[in-house]
Amino acid sequence: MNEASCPALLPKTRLRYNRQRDACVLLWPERGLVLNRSAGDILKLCGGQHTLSSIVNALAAQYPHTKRDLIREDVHRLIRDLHSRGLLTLE
Amino acid sequence: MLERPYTLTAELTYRCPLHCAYCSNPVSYDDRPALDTEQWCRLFAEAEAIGVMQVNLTGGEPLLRCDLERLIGHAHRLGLYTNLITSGVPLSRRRLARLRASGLDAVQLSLQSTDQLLADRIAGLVVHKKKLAVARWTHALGIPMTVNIVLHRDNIEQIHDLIALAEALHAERLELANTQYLGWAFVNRHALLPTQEQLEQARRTTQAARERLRGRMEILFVTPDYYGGVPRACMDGWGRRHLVVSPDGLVLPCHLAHTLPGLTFERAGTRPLLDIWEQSEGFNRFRGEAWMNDTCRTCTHRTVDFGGCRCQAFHVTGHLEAVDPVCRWSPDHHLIQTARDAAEQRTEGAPLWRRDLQMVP
Repeated sequence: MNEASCPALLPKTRLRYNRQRDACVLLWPERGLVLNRSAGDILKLCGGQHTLSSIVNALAAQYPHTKRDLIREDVHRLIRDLHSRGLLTLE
Repeated sequence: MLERPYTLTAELTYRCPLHCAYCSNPVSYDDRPALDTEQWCRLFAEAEAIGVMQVNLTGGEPLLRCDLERLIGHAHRLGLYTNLITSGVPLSRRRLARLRASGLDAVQLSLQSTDQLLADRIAGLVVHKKKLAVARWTHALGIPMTVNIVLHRDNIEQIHDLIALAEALHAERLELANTQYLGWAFVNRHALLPTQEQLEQARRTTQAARERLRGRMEILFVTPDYYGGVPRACMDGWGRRHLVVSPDGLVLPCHLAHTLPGLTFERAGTRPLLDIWEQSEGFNRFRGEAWMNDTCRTCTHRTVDFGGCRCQAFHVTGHLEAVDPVCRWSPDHHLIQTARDAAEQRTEGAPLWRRDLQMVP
């Protein structure tokens, strides 16, 4: 995984907004995760078209009051976690 | 505060062409008419509206419903993630493609063994070759596939080959689910329960395979409660996350809850689903900790296992509020130990009770 990697959620996953929980949820066979707002915003960009660094840039623009280093750390941690769960690929 | 349910398990029918001795259907039930297409569709819409995100279409064998395409299509349009939990029989490649086109998200296919003769004997029907074909179609159609293998004394020693088979079939996920001794499995426990040594060997083999296959195939290994020492958080706790609806529309916290005496459950469509979830006597019976016996109420593990499995407690001890007997602190734990001792004796060729044939008319 490096700054040029393009994370892509696997076809078995579905990223949806759940109105009852007012949150994005990531669903896959017989499992799911209720995401907090920033995790939802990150995963919306994980379709394989964006590099890690451009995802960090987009989040930094969306959350101007949060330090960029913190955002970078958050993005990398989430991507690494979902990758290890076999939910996304890193092209 | 009471959470909203995440998952709806829709038991579309109790009918099934297979006759597995560990079948999770109730041993007996009122054969009331099953919900029709419209009733299931209304239920899916209500479930989605109160927060359900996943629907497990199961049975019995859900493929026996000729309206399965419509049910999947409806659930899909509601935004529900649809899982088909199936034996793969009866199915054609064309129908599987049609189910996929209707919006089916994932398939969980059961297999019984790597050996055709043994697999067919366990299923009580010649199905093994057909199941392998279904697995290949599922992969070819790009449908994410979980292979589920119920483990018991007769197939647990094949664990290495079972894992290799699932890998060769391109399963994304493999569930090696030891039988839990409820329903038909409780009746046939003497013929199914593995020995401790069999279990440990299977666990070691699985662990090694898990390392090797990391990132390619996820492997779940479910220990039988009888060897757990502490109870499992059955259904993630009674009435906490899951809704199960029986073929005739009873809204339940687990698929055997209606086998417990004295509990009242309500039928889908008789009042709003949210009211049933929040207020029905049956759902509230074992929520929280007020119902617990002293052993559970003062135990630190109660926030992990939520009191374990109520069906197991009742069917083994005869008491609804008893400590789940698989727990080492249960005063009835000797009943579990006795069953384990009997498994060590390995009485070969013990007869299996088989379900009466329940073929589709």
